[in-house]
Amino acid sequence: MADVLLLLILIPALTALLIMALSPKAEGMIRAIGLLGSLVPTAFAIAAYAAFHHGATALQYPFSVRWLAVANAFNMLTLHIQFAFGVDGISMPLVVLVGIVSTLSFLRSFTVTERVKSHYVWMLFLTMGLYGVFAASDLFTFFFFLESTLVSSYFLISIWGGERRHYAATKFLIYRGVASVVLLAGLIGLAYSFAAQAQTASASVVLPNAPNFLTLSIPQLIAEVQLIQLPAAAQNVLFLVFLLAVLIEEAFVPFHTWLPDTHENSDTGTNMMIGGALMKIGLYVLLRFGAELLPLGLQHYATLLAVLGVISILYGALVAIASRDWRRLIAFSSISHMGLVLLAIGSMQAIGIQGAVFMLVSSGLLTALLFFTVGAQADRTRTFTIGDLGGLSKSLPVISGVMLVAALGSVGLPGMSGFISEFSLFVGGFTTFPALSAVGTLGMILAALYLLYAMQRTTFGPVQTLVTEMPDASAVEYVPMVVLVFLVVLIGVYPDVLGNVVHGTAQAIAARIGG
Amino acid sequence: MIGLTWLVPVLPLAAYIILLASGRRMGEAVAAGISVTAVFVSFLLSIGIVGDVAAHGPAAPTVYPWLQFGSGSAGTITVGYQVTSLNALMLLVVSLVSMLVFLFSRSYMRGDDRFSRFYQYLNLFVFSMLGLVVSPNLLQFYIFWELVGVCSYLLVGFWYFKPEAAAAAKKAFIVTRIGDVGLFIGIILLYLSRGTFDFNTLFGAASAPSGMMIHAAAPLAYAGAKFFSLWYIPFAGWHAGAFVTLVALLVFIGAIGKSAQFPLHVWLPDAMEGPTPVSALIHAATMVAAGVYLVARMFPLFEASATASETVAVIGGFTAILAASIGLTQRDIKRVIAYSTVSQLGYMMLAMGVGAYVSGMFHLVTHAFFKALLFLAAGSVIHALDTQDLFEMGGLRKYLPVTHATFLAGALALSGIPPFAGFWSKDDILTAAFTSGHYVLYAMGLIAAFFTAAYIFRVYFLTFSGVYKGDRHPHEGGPAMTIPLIALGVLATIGGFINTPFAPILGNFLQDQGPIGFNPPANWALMAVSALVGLGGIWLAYTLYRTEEGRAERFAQRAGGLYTLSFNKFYVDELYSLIIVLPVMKIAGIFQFLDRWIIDGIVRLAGEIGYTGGVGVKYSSTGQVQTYGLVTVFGLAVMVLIVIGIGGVI
Repeated sequence: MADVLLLLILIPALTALLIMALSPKAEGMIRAIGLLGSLVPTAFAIAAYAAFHHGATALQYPFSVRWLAVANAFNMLTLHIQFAFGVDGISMPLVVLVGIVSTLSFLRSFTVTERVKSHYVWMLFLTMGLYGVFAASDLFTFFFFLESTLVSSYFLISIWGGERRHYAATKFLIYRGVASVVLLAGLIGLAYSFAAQAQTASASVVLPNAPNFLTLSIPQLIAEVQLIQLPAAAQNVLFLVFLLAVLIEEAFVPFHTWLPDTHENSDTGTNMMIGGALMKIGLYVLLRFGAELLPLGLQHYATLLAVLGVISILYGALVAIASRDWRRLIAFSSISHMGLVLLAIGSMQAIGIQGAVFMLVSSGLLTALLFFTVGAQADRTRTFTIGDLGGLSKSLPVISGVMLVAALGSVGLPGMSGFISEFSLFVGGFTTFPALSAVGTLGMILAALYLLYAMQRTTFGPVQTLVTEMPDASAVEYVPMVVLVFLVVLIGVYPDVLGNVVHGTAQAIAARIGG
Repeated sequence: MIGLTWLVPVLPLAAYIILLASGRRMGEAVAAGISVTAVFVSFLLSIGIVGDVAAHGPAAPTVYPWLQFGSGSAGTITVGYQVTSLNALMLLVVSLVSMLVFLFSRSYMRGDDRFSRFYQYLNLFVFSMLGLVVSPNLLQFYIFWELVGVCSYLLVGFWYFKPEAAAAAKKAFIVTRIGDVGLFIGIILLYLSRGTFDFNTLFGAASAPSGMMIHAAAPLAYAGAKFFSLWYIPFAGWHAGAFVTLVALLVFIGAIGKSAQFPLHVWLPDAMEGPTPVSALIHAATMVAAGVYLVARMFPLFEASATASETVAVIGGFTAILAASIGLTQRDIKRVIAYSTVSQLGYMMLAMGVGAYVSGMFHLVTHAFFKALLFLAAGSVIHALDTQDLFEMGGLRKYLPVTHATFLAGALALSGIPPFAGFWSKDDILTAAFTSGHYVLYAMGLIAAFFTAAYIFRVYFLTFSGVYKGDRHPHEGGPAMTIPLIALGVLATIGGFINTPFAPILGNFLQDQGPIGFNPPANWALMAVSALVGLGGIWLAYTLYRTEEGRAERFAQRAGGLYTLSFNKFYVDELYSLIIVLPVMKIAGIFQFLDRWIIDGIVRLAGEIGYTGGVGVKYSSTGQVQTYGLVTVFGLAVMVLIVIGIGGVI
């Protein structure tokens, strides 16, 4: 069990290599092996979640292996490059999210018929990368896997996407590539600033990693930050660098235009991966590096975060109202929801940070569900255009019903995961920024407006589409719908199933940023 | 019995789950049987609970931890149930009316494709309302409050293929959502200032529900005073009273939405697009009553702020007269009754606003009886005729004797004619307004009462007297429809005796733990005035519709603009469409345009320039080789950066 995180990364990677060795004609076997290669790590992830020690503050399931050492990297200090993993209350739920979303995307990929072999290979590499990003406990490891997600999703978009897939894929690559470079600058700056600070402070403070002051290990940095703080000016600069990366990575206004294009031009399985898991990385970075390692920077820019958050909430919701394509609507809806998370992180309250993690998980599940149901109906009607649909409840009662559940969940209906997330976020928000948060609540009304308006034109009303006789959900399609609805309702009805894990870490972070 | 309170909402939930799990395979009789039985048992339990509370007083809440987000009790959200005399009464009313509606639906929905689905939603609806009623804290209350809203969305849009139903369902959800957001903010502010969601601790000890606690605690732990003053409202510096008023008004906004008060009343009349039993449920027991119940549950908060109370009273009084005047001219039988609900809810709010807690709850109870009755009777008429247009009816007294007799009882109750149920409760409210010195509101209530009698007897005369204008052979819908009608008919006739000025049984029950609000004294003169006004309304309807052919039309012509205004519902929907819906859509369109052509336009322009600059980025017709190359370039750049970083060159 101790090395479970390593398995999460190795199994998809090895499965990918195995599939590469197979003949492209053995499609059945490729699909079966691919599914297995994503299912087994998911089972491990869930087992790790179940065995997660709630009270502990240290990283759990730690694993590390040294790779190479660079002597005299900085001020006579040696830099150890390592692959290191470990999870806390924030990353553990996200690791499970990756598992669930990826396995369900693999099921969805059964409908892919073109270049099946490479599709599965890239899907497996993407899965590996996502696990790696959230399980990493080291700056280099984190960045390595982040880059791998960039490459694998690029190919998934550009090969299996829609009409304008090359345009979308290139845009995706450029935006996220730039974000990566900015992020890299931030990570390096972080490590070196800490090293310099530690060297200076080591005269008066005994540091846990002495004399190895130049470290990329996240737990070591977190231990350091409780003893020494970077100077406020350094924190502010570094925080701004991270913030810029996050704004691009997470598609916040005005760096968002790549996301709707990506979603509009990707196949459903890829959209589930991107919307369900990949799009949680940016805010995770903000929590991990911004909130945990740069508390003064976060305090300094808290208001900026809240303002940017509220702008994204309203902007995303308004553009979603006018969106004609379901996939663009979902993209803008997720931009709007992520704005809420930004507001909550800005609030610097424990409940807000807990709500942020809840929202990342909830929005991951609901976005995947929305993409899945919208894709399932489009398999049959051949369109994603909202205005061309109508009356789907008649021929597709099950898919329409689940789509309504997903829509209502995204609106924040109690009994589903979205509500408790929004509620916690806003309690945090109102504590620190009452007026801004009040403006943000307009997003709750607008969300009802765009989602229910779209539902009215999709599943309600007279039948619009040319195809009227359509088969409803198949057995394979039932699985993702049942699993996602179950999880969304489970968190909604008994939020402590998630709260137990998140709670301790959220408290610890909030205590450090003075919330 | 109090220990079994949790079963009251759980039984309909169990029925919901059974129906959900068995899907379409379940026969109509089985689906209806399971549902009616579940609610019937809930009803029996509720009787036991009311008995228990009457005998032993309320019980302390039973709670379980639900979500932990901080330390101690302030950092733990709990769920559970609680019984007070107020919510015991609500349990009884809700389960009783629901049970009768469930029974009625057996016949009304016979043969519908999705019969079992209909009962499924009904069960969820009743579960949500009962869960709301037993909630011991505001957050759980809000959770069920929202569930009630979504169930009404599902049921109003039950006939999803009708565009009007789809639009009405969406409208109901969004309009009430506006109110919900007010309540949402109110709950959060209350939590931040008091550190709890529990009703008991919000206001002080359970045994002494009093406004004092909120006064004392209001100078607030809540101080968001950490950052730039631009971004927060410094509540810390507020006069406590101002903060209490703000919170009370926010809570009231929630009630305005749910209970369809002006200016958020527009969803309720449209909501009658759902099947008629749903209307009966929404209007009598499971939806709109929630708003009044909220004000009652939070009564100490409103008592603590005169401004908030006055607002409640004025909104209530204004809504009562506005909706009643619209009801006078509508052609659709359900629409008239729907406006009647809006108007009657206005009375309840008026009562709460002037401090007459018992009167408001009393009217909620009697109204539940006679409004469920009127809707079900209307359903029986629609079932027989297949039309909702009053001018295609007439003479039904002969064909539908049971429906006729019970509708008449409901109409008399609504008109406030003694000794029918509505007389006692409405007179109580008017007396309360008068004795508390709200003379203008009293006058508004009186005029609304006159309108009320006139519009409901207009419906009565057009439907049941004269000659039948259609070509069908109307008949009663069988015992599943007539039994609920008779039961509600009896309740509408004698239900008022639970709280006459001579024997205030309900008042004593509700004030078991000490007085709440004020109880209007019996006043013979005011009683006589109320009764006479009701009779006057009936007389007006009679002379217009029963004496001389065409008299009503001439009267309408003479009224001119007033008639047009009333017939077009004072153009409120049109006004909202013009000043809210259209602008929001326009703004959304503008944002969409900006997004596509300005923000993304700049991005694309930059891309094009980059291409001509020779960087090698052209999106649209890129070949595989180029893009692969691009990936490599990025990879390289990153590698270089890493090397530079590791080399310590920075």
